[in-house]
Amino acid sequence: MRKALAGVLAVALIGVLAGSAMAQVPNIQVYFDAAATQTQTDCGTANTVANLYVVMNNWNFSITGVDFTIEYPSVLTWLGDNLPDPLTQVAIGNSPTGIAIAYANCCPLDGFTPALCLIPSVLWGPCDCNTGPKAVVVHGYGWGTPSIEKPYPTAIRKDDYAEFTGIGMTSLICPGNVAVQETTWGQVKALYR
Amino acid sequence: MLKGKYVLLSLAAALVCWQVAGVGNANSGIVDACNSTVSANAGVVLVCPLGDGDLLTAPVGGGNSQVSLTVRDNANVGIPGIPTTDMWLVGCNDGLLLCGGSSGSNADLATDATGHTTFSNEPVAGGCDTGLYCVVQGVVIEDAGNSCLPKCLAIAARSPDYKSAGAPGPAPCAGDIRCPDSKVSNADFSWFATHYPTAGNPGASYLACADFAAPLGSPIGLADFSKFTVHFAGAGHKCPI
Repeated sequence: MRKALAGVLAVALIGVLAGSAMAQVPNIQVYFDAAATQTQTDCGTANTVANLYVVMNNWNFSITGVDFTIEYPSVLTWLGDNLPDPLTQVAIGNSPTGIAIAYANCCPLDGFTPALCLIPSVLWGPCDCNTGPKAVVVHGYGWGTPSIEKPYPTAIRKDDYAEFTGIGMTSLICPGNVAVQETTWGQVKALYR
Repeated sequence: MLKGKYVLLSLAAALVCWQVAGVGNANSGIVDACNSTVSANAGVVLVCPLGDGDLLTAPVGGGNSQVSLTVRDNANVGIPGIPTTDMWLVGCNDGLLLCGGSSGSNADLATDATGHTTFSNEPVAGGCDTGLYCVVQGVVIEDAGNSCLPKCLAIAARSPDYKSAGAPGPAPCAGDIRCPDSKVSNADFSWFATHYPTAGNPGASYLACADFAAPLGSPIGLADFSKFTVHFAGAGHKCPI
């Protein structure tokens, strides 16, 4: 019993460590609130407009360019992209097919703190959490267009215009409504053999 | 009286001897384009009408493209003391619009005792050119090893100011025709965007003049866009003169 308990604790500890390590990786994530705290949400009211908040985390340099694509679930209809400061920022493309954003000499993004880089506007469609979670996924620029597709989101360091890759994160609508069924540990293990 | 003449002649002879003895160091002061030499490592630099482009000593992708110039006369003697304002760089294909005329690309210092000087700063300019000529007192420095033809240094100069927004500048021009107006404007951004691959334009054509950052070559990428935007977004950079 003690051995089993120790094993469970060890696994939990590894999970915590892995989680903290993952948190240091440069990434781009969609949040459902302006404070950038919610990566999960329930369904919104159909036919209402909402803003999403795309934030760059852990890049740790002064950012003068970024590109990525956002895969929207069918319950969200993309309406448009808004730059947080259109006076000092310009974009080419759009978030559903690939957007590149660059910054004026005065005003690079501070990559040492979470940095808001885009505010897409979306329209909520019919949404039912009973049908399971729906993902909002950040991909590399040009995702879905093979000739220009990048495997990961990238950003440019202002000091030398060097390009760095990061991770595209997944946010969830209806995260808690994962379909479940009875199973056994053996069946679970079998999934990974 | 006769003695006085002898003294005068002796003084004159001495003066002639002194002048002859100094011939080895004298120069006519007239620039000989073919005897003069200019050299630099090949490179690519971003140039901007505001003057905040890439130094010749720090071209795109590393290295050093500082220009080394030695000015000589027809006797192959170095000409010292040529002021910086008498030496400048221009595009080999007339592709650069210099901000403030030649003052935007002067040499670092006046020529030294051997006639030598350097250029460390990129031209303050708009436009795009594949190479640079070095001009001294209005004379393009030539290449003695190539039939004394003007020597084009393999330093490509590319500016985010490539197009004109119209009056009071030059008339706007279509496509990839070059018509800089000494300011980085929406006209330049619109042109740059046509060369940026997007889902709607995945086959955007590569144009070297829009390639500002490493890695150089097709396709135009995020680093190029970022470097362009540093000179465009906010208050677009322009010639202050």
